[in-house]
Amino acid sequence: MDRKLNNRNQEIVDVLPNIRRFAASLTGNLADADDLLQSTVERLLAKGLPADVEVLPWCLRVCRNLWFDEVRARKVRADASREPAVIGEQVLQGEDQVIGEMTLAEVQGVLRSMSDDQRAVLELVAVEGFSYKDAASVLDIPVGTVMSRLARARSTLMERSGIAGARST
Amino acid sequence: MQEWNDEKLGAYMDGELSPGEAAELEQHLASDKALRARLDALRAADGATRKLYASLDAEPVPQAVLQMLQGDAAKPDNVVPFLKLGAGRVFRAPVAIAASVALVVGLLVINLSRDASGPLNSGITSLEAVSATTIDVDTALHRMLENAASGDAIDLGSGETGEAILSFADVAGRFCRQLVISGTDRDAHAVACRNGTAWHVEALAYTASLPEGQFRTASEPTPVDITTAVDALIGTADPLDREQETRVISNGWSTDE
Repeated sequence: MDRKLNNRNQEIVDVLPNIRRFAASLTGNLADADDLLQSTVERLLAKGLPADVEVLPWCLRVCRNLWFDEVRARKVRADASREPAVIGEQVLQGEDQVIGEMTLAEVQGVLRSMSDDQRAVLELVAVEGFSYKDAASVLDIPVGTVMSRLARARSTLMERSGIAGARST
Repeated sequence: MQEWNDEKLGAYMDGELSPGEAAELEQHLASDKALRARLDALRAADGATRKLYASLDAEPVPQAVLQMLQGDAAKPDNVVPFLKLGAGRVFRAPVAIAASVALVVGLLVINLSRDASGPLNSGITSLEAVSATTIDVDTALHRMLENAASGDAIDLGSGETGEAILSFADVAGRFCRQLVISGTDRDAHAVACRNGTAWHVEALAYTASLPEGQFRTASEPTPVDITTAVDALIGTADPLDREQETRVISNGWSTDE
């Protein structure tokens, strides 16, 4: 970008990748994530960033509220007759790219099978490195719910992608 | 009796257990192979998730979003790549968007543990390999030290990425390399020197892993134990420059032409 941004806009630019990944966890695919990202930025610019907030959690809360309160219902209706795309589909064309013990296709497939609630908490904690408390604040759920959803998401990912170690009791 | 289910193991991995609980779990992990396997599987699941999401960073952000933030209605002619912000460690270098899709796919398949030259038999991760006095020759980490140029991010398998930071000759004439291994929940910083054909670990320190969206920058502090070790080993000499390093690697870490 060749134009100098004002400070508040620059703060949003600095967290755009984080908002975008979080949006992808909610929508499950990049095209819808970019629509949600655009709506989020519009809302942030319209309402302004309060001076005393941490920028990233604030932006993610705006994104989350837009998704659950406005966008998801519309999208579910629109998608009722078609199969949605998956995270990473636009980039990752191979079926057998290996990440550790799993292939990307396996990871994609399992994430696709999860609910947006589970994907979102997994993204915040495992990808963005949020504490449970901060993830709970962004998602507006109790910390205990973060823990249980996270455990379910991770268990699902392990079981369905065939990397599960022996379960401990 | 505490039940170490996935929720508790995950909380341990995320640094959310109390010190007392973490210590209790570590005691169990020391003696319970199945529990360790489950923890490793959880870490692998997280590592794979991070890599998948990191791949999104290589895709250009819609122009409409960037224009809103610029407050500029003028439309540029081309798509703006968005690698500068938030790309994962493996995708650090800004590159032309025309190459970025191939780059992402290409990097993701650089997996030394499944190299065409044959499977590795050690069955240990690179974080485990670097914790030994001598790095097992049958590991992706050994192969990285032998062959990879400094600054190249290497997929070591098991959700780990490695990178040689610099190479130098120590005061005793051995070749040494400073390196970092990024695991799913912690990073290992080390200095290893080549004795004969083996890489000996001279110094080792751990830090918490960076979130995937963050860059490891040149200004990021290296653990003091590592810089101290490098200073002591290198004496007054300089690290190898790119050309010298390339030559030494191609000569199998020998100065003989």
